[in-house]
Amino acid sequence: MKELIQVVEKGRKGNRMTKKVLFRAGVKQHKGILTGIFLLNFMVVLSLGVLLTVWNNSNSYIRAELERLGYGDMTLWVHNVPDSVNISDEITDTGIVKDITTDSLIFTDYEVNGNESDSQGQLIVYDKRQQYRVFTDDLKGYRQVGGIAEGDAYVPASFVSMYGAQVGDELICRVARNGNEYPLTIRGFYEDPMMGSSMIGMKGILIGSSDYEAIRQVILRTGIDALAETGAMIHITGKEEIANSAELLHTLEQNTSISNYLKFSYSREVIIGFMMVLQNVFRGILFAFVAILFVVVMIVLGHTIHSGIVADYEQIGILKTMGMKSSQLRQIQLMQYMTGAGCGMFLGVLLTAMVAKIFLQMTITSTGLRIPAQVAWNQVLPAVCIIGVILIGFIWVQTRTILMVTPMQAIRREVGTDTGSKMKGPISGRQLLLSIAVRQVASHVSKYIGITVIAMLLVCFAQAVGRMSSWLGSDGKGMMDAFNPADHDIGVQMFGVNTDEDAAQIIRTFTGITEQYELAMPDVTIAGTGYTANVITEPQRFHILEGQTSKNDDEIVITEFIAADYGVGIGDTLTVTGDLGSAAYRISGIYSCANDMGANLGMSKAGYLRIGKDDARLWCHHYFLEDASLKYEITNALEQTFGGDVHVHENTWPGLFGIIAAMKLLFVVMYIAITAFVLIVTILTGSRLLKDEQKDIGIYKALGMSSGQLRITFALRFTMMAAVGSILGTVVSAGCADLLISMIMKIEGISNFAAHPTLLESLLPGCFVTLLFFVCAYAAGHKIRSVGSNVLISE
Amino acid sequence: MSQVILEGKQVGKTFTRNHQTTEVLKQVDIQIFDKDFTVIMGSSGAGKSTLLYTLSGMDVCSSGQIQYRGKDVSNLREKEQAELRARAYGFVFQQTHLVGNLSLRENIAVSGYIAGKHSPKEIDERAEALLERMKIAHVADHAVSQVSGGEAQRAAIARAIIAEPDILFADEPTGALNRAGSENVLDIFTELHQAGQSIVMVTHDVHAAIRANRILYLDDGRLVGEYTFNPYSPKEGRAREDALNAWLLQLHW
Repeated sequence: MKELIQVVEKGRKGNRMTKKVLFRAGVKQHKGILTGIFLLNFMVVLSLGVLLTVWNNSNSYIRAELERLGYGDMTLWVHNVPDSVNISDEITDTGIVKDITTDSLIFTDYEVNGNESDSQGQLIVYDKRQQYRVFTDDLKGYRQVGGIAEGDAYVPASFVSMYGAQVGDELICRVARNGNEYPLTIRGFYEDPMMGSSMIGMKGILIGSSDYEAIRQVILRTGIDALAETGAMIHITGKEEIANSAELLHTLEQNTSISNYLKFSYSREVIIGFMMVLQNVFRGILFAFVAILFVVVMIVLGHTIHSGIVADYEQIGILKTMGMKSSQLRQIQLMQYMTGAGCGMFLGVLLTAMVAKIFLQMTITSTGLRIPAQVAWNQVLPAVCIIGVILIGFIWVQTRTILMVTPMQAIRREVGTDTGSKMKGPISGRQLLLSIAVRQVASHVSKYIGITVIAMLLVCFAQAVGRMSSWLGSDGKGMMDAFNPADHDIGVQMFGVNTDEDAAQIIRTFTGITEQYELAMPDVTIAGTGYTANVITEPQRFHILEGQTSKNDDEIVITEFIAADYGVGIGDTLTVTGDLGSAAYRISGIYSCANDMGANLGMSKAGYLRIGKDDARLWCHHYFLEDASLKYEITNALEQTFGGDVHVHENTWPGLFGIIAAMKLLFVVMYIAITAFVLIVTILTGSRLLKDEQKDIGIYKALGMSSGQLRITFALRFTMMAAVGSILGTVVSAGCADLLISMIMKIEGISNFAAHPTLLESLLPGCFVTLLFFVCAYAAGHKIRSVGSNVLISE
Repeated sequence: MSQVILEGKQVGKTFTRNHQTTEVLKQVDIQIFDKDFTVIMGSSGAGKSTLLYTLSGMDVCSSGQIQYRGKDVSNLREKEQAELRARAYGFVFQQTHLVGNLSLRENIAVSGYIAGKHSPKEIDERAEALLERMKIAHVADHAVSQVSGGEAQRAAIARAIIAEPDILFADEPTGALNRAGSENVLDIFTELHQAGQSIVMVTHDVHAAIRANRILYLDDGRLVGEYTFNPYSPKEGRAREDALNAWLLQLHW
């Protein structure tokens, strides 16, 4: 106090000088608190900065790269085009196209490191003019590639996360039945802005022209036994008068023979959507995290300001007596807290580029892209300014208490002092530490309520991520179910002379088959747009969200994304075109299948045969096993027995492991962040409380309580309030979490998100947060040890 | 001759602040006898309270040794020190230092619970009895802020003795009370002493000091004199005061 009086006396020379001196004294006095505020704001701004930078740069980089590589407004994938037909010329002749480029390719299944591809790969002939960017082997830069030698291939960087691929690994192309495989050696990784993300099944693989020709010859030679097929990727830029890509495709289908050869087509926006799936999902999660963090900052700041003012009442009273105005005192408070917050925000912005760079480098094997890490100033700066303005307003409002205090009230401590007379809860001799803790909390609830709110928010967030993890499962079952139209343990597709029964017999030597059905996934079109049809022998197995399944041959089920695209619903009719012709189908229900971002539909086998031809090779036999844990052994046995004539797949795909790994990483990062939060919050709140309670601590020590016992009572207070918050958080999450996560998941095409966490999984986040508060509060209570008898000595 | 229950040997205490070291206690040798009412007197800043808190383990000595019933207690671990305070010592301060969010009854009982010498039920009964004895039963469930200073100090004494301590330490227990309140508290101390309670009290008030049977005088961190009385009798109050004043004058009080 003496110090403050001195600084005021010094400050009489002028208002500015007074404020300056008081500001310095305040910063010195509250340096611990300001450090905490600094750290919290640093975390908020850094998280937000990285989030905005990663998302913004990803978006703009993908667009720029698609532009640079000349991929145009839309890309069409065609196959089995006869030599007599020149699709490019036909398209050019329509006069609606400004630019067109064509890449020859081969569609083929492949295997890397024993992992079978789930979707067909596209062997693209390397064209120097395309200026593909090839990564250095450590993925930290680019290198020049003059050409691709025979037997070599360049694959997207996401092969690392999908297949554990390394330079020098072998990539085996399944060109035709009877063991006609074509091995290639991975010579490096390239950046593919169109299909490079691990979230996308189909992948572009760059090969040399001699390998392309050799594989093409195998396809021609093997004829009907060929598994691979030739094709092309046609990149089109429409003229300005073409309103959108749908109109462009429609016009092309009307005026060219493209629909006879079209495998699938995607507009630039859809491709960007595919490439941004990972970033979009993580953006949703991180945004929720930042929002929670910011609320925590506000709660801590509010509590800190209030208790700081109460602790300084006497000084405030003296300063008012000496002529300081309330507004001046509030300005000093504002300056103090904004110094901590502002420095944290500044450092956060400063480190954004560095952290974003590390993050983007770490995720190259998932995104497939080396996205620049320059700070997205156009978004980060306004966001930081908004945060700053909110904080200034919040601090200003919180310091209004200063207005209400007259000098003498403050000096006599007639205001802001909690008398602690609300004696709720008995003091029990048997549970002494707990009952003292309860009494402390009950007497000063307002000091602890922030902990409850913070715990609730943290538990809600942890619950949300936990539910996603629980839904995903250790083997990714949630994602598998979301992406597969119907459940199964193992799928077997036979190609050679052996029959499905041969495969079933081998399976039965391991375990019984409880149920089975057949599924085919031919390509169909609706109004010229390509979709995958999930054709099933038992339509009741579809994951129906609304309405009925497509039992009859004139019925289909569609995803809610197709329903939204065409503005149709149950009872409406859609015309679907297959390789034999078109037919009208009544929509009997809405079902869930996130394949191709929900661009698929489901129908019965009888329904499909109205528009497509039957072919034994189309059908994949899906089995449910008595002992599903044996599926890996069964897969090996089938592959060893039938070699290249069998395709066995589990209810999984290569990219799934990348997603599971990313989710696990997110889980770890989240718990680390929660730990940091709780630690900072507890230290900030705890140090204030301990300062206020010095005398009580001294009394209890004089009565014979050890520092350890006092630390336990101190920690119990936080634990109790955190437990209440955790329970609330768990209850709120049980009611709302799935709904909120569903909103994020819909970005990925997953419309039926519903986690079914076990009791343990539901309780874990709450228990973790509560325990964490106990540990952190116990740690923060170490200052109790240093409270000596001097607090009680009057001499 | 009474048994020595607490002994300080060559006790020194220094404080360092802003690189300046102040020696408050200078190699003090002191013995506290069982069932004695010992008063430590001295001028302001002589180190009376420091000596009291050092002896009682509330603070550590910079040099020397403290022995409680022959056992060195100057280097006990914090937990052992706390246990000693809980079970063997009781404290009364100048300010009542009651816990604000506990009622008077709870303030008294908590001390007993911490000591753990008796069952919680027995503690509750003892607390009830002490409330009656201290004449504060009518405000037993009041908060500290709702009672008078005298009532609060009586509660503080009850708190200090509920666990039947070996030694009751008191630091200027009447310093913040009015005349009537002071007399009341001193009567309680006398009563406790007569019942066999060992008491060590710091005071600069001659009127309070005459309640003791042994008075030690501290000057500039050194014990410079000792005066003994017969057990206190109210009739001898005036004479004791005169005798003590005369002795203190010799010591330049």
